[in-house]
Amino acid sequence: MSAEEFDTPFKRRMAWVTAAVGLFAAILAYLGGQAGSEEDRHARQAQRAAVAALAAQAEGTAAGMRDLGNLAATGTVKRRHDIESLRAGLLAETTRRDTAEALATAYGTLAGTSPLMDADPQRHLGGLMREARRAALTQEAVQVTATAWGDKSNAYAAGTALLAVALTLLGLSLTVGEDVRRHLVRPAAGLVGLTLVGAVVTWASPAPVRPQAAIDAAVEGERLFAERDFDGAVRQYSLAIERDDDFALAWERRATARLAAASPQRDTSLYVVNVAPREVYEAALADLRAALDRGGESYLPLAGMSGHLVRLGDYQEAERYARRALALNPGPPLPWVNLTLALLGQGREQDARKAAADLSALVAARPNPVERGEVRTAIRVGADLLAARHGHARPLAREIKGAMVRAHLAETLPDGRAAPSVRFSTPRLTVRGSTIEASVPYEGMIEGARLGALVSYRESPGGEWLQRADLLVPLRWPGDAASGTMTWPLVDFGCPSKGEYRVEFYADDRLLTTAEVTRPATSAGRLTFRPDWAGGLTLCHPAGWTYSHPLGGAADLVSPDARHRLTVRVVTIGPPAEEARPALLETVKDQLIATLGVKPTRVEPPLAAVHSGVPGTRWWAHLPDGGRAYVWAGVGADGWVRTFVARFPDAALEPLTDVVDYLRFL
Amino acid sequence: MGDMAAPSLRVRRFRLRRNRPRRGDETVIAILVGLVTVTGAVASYAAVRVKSQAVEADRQAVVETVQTRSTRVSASIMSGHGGGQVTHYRVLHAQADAIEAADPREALILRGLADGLLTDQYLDRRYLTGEGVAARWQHDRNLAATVSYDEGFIVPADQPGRTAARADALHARVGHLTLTAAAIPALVLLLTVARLTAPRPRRWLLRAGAVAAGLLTALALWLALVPEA
Repeated sequence: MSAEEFDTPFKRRMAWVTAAVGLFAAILAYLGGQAGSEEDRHARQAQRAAVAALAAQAEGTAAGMRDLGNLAATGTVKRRHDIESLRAGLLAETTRRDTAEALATAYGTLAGTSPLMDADPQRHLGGLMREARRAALTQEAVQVTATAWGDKSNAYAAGTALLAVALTLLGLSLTVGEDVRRHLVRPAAGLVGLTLVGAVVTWASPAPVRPQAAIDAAVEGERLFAERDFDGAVRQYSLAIERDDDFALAWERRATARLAAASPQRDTSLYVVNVAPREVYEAALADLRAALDRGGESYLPLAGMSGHLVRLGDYQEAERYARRALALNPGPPLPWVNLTLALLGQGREQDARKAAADLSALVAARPNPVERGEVRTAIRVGADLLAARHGHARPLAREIKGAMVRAHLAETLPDGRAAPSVRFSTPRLTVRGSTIEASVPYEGMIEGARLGALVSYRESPGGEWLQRADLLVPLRWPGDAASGTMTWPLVDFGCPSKGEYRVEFYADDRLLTTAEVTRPATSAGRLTFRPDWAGGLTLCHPAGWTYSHPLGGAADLVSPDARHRLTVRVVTIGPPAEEARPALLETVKDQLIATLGVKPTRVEPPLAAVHSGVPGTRWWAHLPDGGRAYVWAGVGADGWVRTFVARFPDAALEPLTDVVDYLRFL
Repeated sequence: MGDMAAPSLRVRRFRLRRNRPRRGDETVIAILVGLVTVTGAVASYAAVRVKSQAVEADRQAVVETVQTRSTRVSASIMSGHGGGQVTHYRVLHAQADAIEAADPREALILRGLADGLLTDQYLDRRYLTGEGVAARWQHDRNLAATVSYDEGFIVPADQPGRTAARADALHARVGHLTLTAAAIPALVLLLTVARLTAPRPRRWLLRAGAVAAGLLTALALWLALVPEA
């Protein structure tokens, strides 16, 4: 055999090609190793950030609880001071004034014990969690980078494997005849070409690194969201997206913030926002799609999208996304709500009924009563929406809604009784301040009957009714009269200033009757809610008014022109002896009048007057400047003294009427 | 003896020439090699793609773990704090009980302070059983309720485990795809042996190789194209 037989031009070319492919494989192996190192480095950073996030969360929460605990410890001194001070003011007990002053001094010595003594609690506690949020978002960002480096490393490894196959084929091609050779060389060339293109693309694609500025914006968005500044949160999430378009979490959170910002429930809903304008649902849906595109299959965006699609009327898509969320986790109830509504919207009654039954069982097993209430509210609102949209859905929608009402009533009135014979005639509704009073003729009533009043509200006629979990009011009928007329006061703790109420009365799941009433617009326009839960009162006041809260159980309101004033004082004194009450009331009246700062020209005789359901006594005082004051005090058998003084220029009571109507004693 | 038994170069070249496949067999072998090569490329590409999904799921499981555990840590600390405040509440009531007969007004103030404490500390009375000194804070119930409620905003508490299980399934698929790709050189070796062997076993080896190539290709395509359940 001659040397030429082994050293053909093809074999010489193959030798060059094999060497070149080998070199290429070595370069890929090197790049793969580098990418692997980067992956490890970022994975380590991510692990550290994860530990840091957990530690920061624990640290922030512990600090918050420490501050709250310290506030509680000092708060007992302050509360005691407030009580003594109020009692001194209302009951003219001079020794208590001395005690109050001593307590004020004592409280002063405790200054600085807790930052919450001066700071806004929500803002302070939110600030303590800022580092935890930053660490969690950093961890997520660094993991994205680590994953990208891992993808690169894997791509290089795959390329190396393909080159090994190509080398095998090239080696084999040396052993076959010329006519068959091309069947081996061409695939090998294809593999090398493919690997080359893939390697260049992989090398040229940078691993994403999330800018710190994007993380900072998202952290700020989280803070504002927690403080219920939803518009500010939307702006911050938009900024985060602008700085890093791949920030899936920012897209997802912006969708939630958009809905919260645009919803009329923005100040009341804790869990489920279920009414917002259509264009907002569309924008939120687009955000969630973007989050899914960037962050992969993820539970919350899928669950959210199914809900938004129900609102937008695309029931098939809604079902698809609800099922995708359920495939990831069938435990939480929200995707079941959306699935039930999507099936109902499609007219698939049997499937919808079964999904509703599954949902009902699931909700009943949830440990949090607030969550249970809000989820049931969500499905009631959805059922109303579908009943209004589609005639075919109406009977089943009503059935599902009734089942949700019954579940709530059975839970809140465990000793109530079913009352299948009870009937309500058309009720009469009146609205005053925060109270909707229903006067309802009934018959067939039994003692212990389980009843419910479902209150819905809308700001303008034709708008969508809003429902709140706390406005499904249960009542276990206490009387034994089979027929008569009941008065049922229903309290809306917000400050709705105009609009309409609808009240649906239920006996378990049976709708007895429905009535609507229009709330006349308040002369003062929109109102701001001011609760003092510990002090035992809530207020609503018009924009521009000055609100001050000098003590627990004390609130002062002054109109912008200072011509209208309201002073409210509430304090516990212990149940007074019946015979001591008139003298006590007289003392309180004198003290309240003394707070006017001028001696009235005339005080009209007392008359009984009820405010916020509390019986009391009122006096009209005529002031030297022509103004008047309305003085009211109630000394309750429960041991609480509740008072207010409304001062106004003569014949100009108007804005104060609304404010007084909305004043509630708890 | 050994030298005597070994066939001469001439004999070996004769055997090689005699075993050389017919042109048709050569083409079949080359086509099969080409097919399994493409299959190998598809399997390798799919392995990279699925690996990327698996790593993404790993990442998500870690992120979800941090979220859910953070939530639980916070809920646990807050509920523990609630328990501490309820103790404070009980202490005030115990003091009130002690002085009730001697100074009822002072006792009333202490009870008012105790009730105000619960309100100021945002404690939900639904997780309180009993009243006054007999009150007890239901830590476990409160914790479970808080964690459950947070599932609406963060992710369900058991979601990290589910995501990790999905990641494991994807990793297993990567393993299968890699194994498929690793079987390619074995098949190429089989076809090489078929090429060099005598015509009768070659036929059997070629049939076996064709079946194996077909199965391997089908398996690779299934693993690459059918999504994870």
